[in-house]
Amino acid sequence: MRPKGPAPREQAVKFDDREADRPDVAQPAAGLAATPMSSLGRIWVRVPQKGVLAAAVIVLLLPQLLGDDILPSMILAGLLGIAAVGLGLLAGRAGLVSLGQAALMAVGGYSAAYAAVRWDWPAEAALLFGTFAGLVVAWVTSPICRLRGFYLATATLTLALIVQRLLVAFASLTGGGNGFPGIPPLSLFGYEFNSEFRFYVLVWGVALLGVALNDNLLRGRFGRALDTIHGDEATAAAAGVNVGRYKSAAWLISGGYAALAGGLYAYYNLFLSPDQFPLSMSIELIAGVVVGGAAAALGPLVGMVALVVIPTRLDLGPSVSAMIAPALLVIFASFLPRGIVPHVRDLSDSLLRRVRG
Amino acid sequence: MSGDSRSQAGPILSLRSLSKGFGGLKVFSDVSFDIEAGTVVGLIGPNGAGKSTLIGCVSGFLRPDSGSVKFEGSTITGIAPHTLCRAGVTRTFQHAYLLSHLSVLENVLVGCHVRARCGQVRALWRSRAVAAEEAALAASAMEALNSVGCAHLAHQKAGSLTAGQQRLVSVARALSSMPRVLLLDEPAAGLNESETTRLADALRSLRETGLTLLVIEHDIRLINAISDHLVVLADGGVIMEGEPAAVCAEPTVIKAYLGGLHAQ
Repeated sequence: MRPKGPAPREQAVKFDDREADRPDVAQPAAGLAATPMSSLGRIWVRVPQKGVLAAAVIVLLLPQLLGDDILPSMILAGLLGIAAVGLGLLAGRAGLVSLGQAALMAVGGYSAAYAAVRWDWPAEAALLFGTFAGLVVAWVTSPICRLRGFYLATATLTLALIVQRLLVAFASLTGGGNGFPGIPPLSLFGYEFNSEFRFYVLVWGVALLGVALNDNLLRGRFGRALDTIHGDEATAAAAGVNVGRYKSAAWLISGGYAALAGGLYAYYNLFLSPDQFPLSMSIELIAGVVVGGAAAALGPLVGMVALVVIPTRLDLGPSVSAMIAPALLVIFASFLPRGIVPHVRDLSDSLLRRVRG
Repeated sequence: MSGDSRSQAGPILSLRSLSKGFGGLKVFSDVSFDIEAGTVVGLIGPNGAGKSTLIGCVSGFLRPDSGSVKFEGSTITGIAPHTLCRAGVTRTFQHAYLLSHLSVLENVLVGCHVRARCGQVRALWRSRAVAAEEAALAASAMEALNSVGCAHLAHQKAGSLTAGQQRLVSVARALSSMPRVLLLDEPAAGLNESETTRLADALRSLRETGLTLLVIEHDIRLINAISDHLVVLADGGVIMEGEPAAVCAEPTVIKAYLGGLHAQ
């Protein structure tokens, strides 16, 4: 379905050129060499796949349709959604289930906040620094990717606990249990994100861009390599995939997404404390991925909306809301393991087929 | 890697006094034989003789306890399987391990991994170079499928294939990395008569292209039909090697391989 290369079905082509240097992929003609202008054009044409465009339209229309009360919960869903997009790559494609993504969000959030408050860095630099810090922590902890299944889940869970303890212990850096106040309002390249709506557009723009980039990356050999690792590591190794490096790369990418989400969270809340990154947040992230559809590009975002926005809209109160994510996780994992997006897509495909006859 | 440096300079693969055991169990010891470039070597022997373990040692999945494997004159013992695949040595497994939710073509594309040259970063915005490379790789994956007679299945879900078809597709996946030495672990297991014939034809025509094959197989007719050379592994070592016809006629081989029953 995905690679739409020329398909010389009937041609009886044999391997020739075996004598020539072995890896001889046809090089694209010189005329196709990218010029900056055309590559910008391509970014515009290629990146927003139909689903992402449709989602962007829905995101923009939603406050008009449902009113501005939806903004706070949608912003939270988008912030968690950014981290969930990275987790979708890690858990959905590579099969590495992490229960520690909230730790990486905390690292990104606290690092960005620290740079912004103590060093007076501008927001652009602080957010980059937060993401970088998340990548460094992911890199340092990447050996845990050698673990599988239950052991990996336990190790990442432990990571989440350790980071929470460290945030309290290093009070001189983080403010400890009292929290980290005084984060300046977000302003990027001279543009103030001083209203809920502006922040909402920013967060969802980042989230959807993240989906598009993720999807592009995963459509090619990176995605195939992760899928094969998920299926059978020996087969991946025999196909030339450096299993350890690809697993680490998936862990790093998911860590980068989580840390960026954490940085934006810091700028949204303007105050951080260790209990804003609880274990239940990690569970919520994995639940969002499973509920939305781990292998679908938009799945994590859809899942986070389902988990965050719907309980808030239904006004279920904190104790019931806290049960929604774990309950949906169990229900979906048991009965609809592919998640919302693939099922909706199947449904709409079959409807379309019926309409077209 | 150039053509002349390896021309008739000796065997493409040479095993020297390989030994491997798991814990107290010695699987084989002091196994030595050479594989000439462009030949098909059959590796036969009774169950438990260590044939798959031997392939594991050659392909980098297992580290031999002692001895060495040389590929084109350089020692490859202890090199990781993904590096060996890049260098031109790869293998198939007794199980096909296809990704059942993906198309057959995508499964074969997995094998093209080492041939992609475009950086991963450019894939982020689907640059034209990446798209062109994907198309070229897909075309070459189709060739690999075609060479095992499965091109017509390219756009089916891999999960919908028969066991035999899946086996052939896994051979195509290994081929699509353009190996120079391919180690096949029981490629005909689970194949029906016509699929076995197709596999034999495919392996013969691959040999014509200069590929070197080491094949573990229990189907004696198949192994006789395709092999230039047979190596018999039994009782922890190589008990016989040579021309297929001669090897199969040898009483000790018949005894070791078929059990005492047929030896009379």
